Amino acid sequence: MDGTIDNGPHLDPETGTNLLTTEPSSNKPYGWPDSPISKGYLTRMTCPDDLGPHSTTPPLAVQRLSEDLFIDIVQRYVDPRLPIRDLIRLILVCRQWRRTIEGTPSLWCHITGNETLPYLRKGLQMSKQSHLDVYYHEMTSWIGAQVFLEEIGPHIAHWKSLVAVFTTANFPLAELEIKSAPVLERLHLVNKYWRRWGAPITLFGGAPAPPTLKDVRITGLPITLRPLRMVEMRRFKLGAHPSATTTVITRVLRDSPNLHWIELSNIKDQNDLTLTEGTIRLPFLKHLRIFAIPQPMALQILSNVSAPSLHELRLRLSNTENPRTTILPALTPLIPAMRSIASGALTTDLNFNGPLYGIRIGELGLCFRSNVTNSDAGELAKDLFDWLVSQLGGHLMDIPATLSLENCPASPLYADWLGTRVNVTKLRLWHEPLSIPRHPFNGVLPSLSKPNASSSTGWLLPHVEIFETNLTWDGGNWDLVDMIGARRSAATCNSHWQLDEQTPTVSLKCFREIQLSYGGKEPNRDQHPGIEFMRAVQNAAGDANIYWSGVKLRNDRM
Amino acid sequence: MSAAPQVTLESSDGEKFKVDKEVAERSVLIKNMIEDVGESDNPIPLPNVNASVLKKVLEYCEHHRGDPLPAADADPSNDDNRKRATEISDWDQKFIQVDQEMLFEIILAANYMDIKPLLDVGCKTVANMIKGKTPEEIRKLFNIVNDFTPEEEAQIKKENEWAEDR
Repeated sequence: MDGTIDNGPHLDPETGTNLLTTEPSSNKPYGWPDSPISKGYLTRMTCPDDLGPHSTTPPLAVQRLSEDLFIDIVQRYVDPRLPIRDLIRLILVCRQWRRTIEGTPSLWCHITGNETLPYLRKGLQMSKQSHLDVYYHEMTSWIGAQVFLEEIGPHIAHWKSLVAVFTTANFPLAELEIKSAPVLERLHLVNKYWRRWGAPITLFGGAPAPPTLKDVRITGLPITLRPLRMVEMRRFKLGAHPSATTTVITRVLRDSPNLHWIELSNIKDQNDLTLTEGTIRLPFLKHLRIFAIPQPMALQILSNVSAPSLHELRLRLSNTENPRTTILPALTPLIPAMRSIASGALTTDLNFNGPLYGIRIGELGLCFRSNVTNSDAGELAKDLFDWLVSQLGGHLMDIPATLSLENCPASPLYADWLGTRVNVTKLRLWHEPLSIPRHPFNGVLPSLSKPNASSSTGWLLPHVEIFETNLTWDGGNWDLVDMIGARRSAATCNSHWQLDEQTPTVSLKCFREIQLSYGGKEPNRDQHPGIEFMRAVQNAAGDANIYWSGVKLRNDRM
Repeated sequence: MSAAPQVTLESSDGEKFKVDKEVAERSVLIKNMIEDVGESDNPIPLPNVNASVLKKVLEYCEHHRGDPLPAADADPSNDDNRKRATEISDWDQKFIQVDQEMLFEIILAANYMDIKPLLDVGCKTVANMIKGKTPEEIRKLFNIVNDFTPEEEAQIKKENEWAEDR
């Protein structure tokens, strides 16, 4: 091979690609139009040496692909974490691959700090005028932030996306602060250590954001939001912002009627008491997540947003001493959407974790942190549940529910109250092994083990079939064994239990699945409670499937 | 119960395949042709797909007959995300375990017949075959001749000498 290219009669002298087009079938059946022949199918990548006039060998399988298909494969092959390295490997395969890859600037559009400076420069050089996807993570980058920004800054007119994750609020945003980025679609600026905020940052020289901007995530950075006017924004995630006020956030939402996704989290209380009025119409909003923002801000947003297409609502707020009189009324405009979300729910989760209590019904999740004692938190949770049932419908009481009690002593009375309103089919008792009190569920376990008069249904949580717990330290918890055995015996002997004539007939269910684990955060988290204990559980549980740390135990009796 | 409507497809080598219309319409090309011309007893010609490849393509369409059809990608970022996804379902992996010749023929046929999910499977498979391989290993895999002259090769290496991991 001497390196000269004989293209043959049908090959483009510049590219070497086959210019032949197939004639439509001359004997095509009547009634069918000319078969649409895709250009991509016929403009095939050819290796001139194979298809030249003197060649007798058929083209190699891979070389029969059109250029479009070859590029498609290369796009899938390139690892966005090390894109330029991958492309350089391919251009060393053969002339045709080199010509195609080097001649396709869009293949070089992934610019990342994960590669060294020469790779970065090669990518910027080869991408020409293509729109760039820029990714920088301070922890994984080979290039310092300052240098990286100096290199990509002059290309700001071509940035399609900028995703930057860093560990300081003093990250040099350089051109982003002073110039427009006219084709920018995605802007993610994430400061991982957001407790250290720097001075306020203005983007785009104080001008509105480009109309192309659709996906914005700002975490832990004091970016001035007011001038941005992100009219085409679809996705907005704002976290740990030191200075965003209710007024500013509601204005951002008003400016962005096409929003599909909003997530607001960890926003500092600005004591902004300005009342904003008027509905914020967000007809396309599907996801609304509000986590740990000041309660007045949450009230303002929730009571003003109109979101008829909502598919998901998550709300987690602190210091809500009585949500029934504060935050829940603010949800009134969203009740039709909440009803729609809850109607499709297949499960309900009731969670208690210390002073945190919450209810999740499919994609609807409401969670509050109370300042009051655990027992009062239980009362507030009753209020929350009753409010939900009254607003969303009594069907909630029939959906299979999981009751999770974590790091909180639970009153059997409260569990019984839930048992009469919710169809609890899974019970989870979890406690951090070394925390105080050591055995917080001492009150609940005996109550689960026998019928008692204080329980309105005879047995506490009679429909539980899946039981999960980590209360197995100190060589196992023998109250567990007693409880499992007692419920099994009662369920097998008398499947329709009636304490007395006044109590309703309740069918006590056997556990069909018991999930045990140690579950602590210490190095010995998989510490086994001992063979004697596990045998006892197995014998008490009968035919139930038993798992230790997710692994199913053999079901033979010992 | 009335039988499902059927259509006949004719491969480039003249073999005819009678299949349920629902199966054939996994191909956007065929779907459009039927919509344009209306239902007909005449076979639909596929002059770029031979019988053995068409048989294989129809096996794929039959297996995926109930799957939702991909929407025309109005948003190009969806297309980008689709291309970045590298996982292939178990059935598709087994289906695409064919010799290289057939693999590329399936890709070409999927492109021609406009069956995007099958094109995805084929292209992902080839991309996965290349991953982690050196240029020499890739040449060997596809039986590609290194057609660089020694001077060219030296020049490329010089241009990219900073790229240590080639």
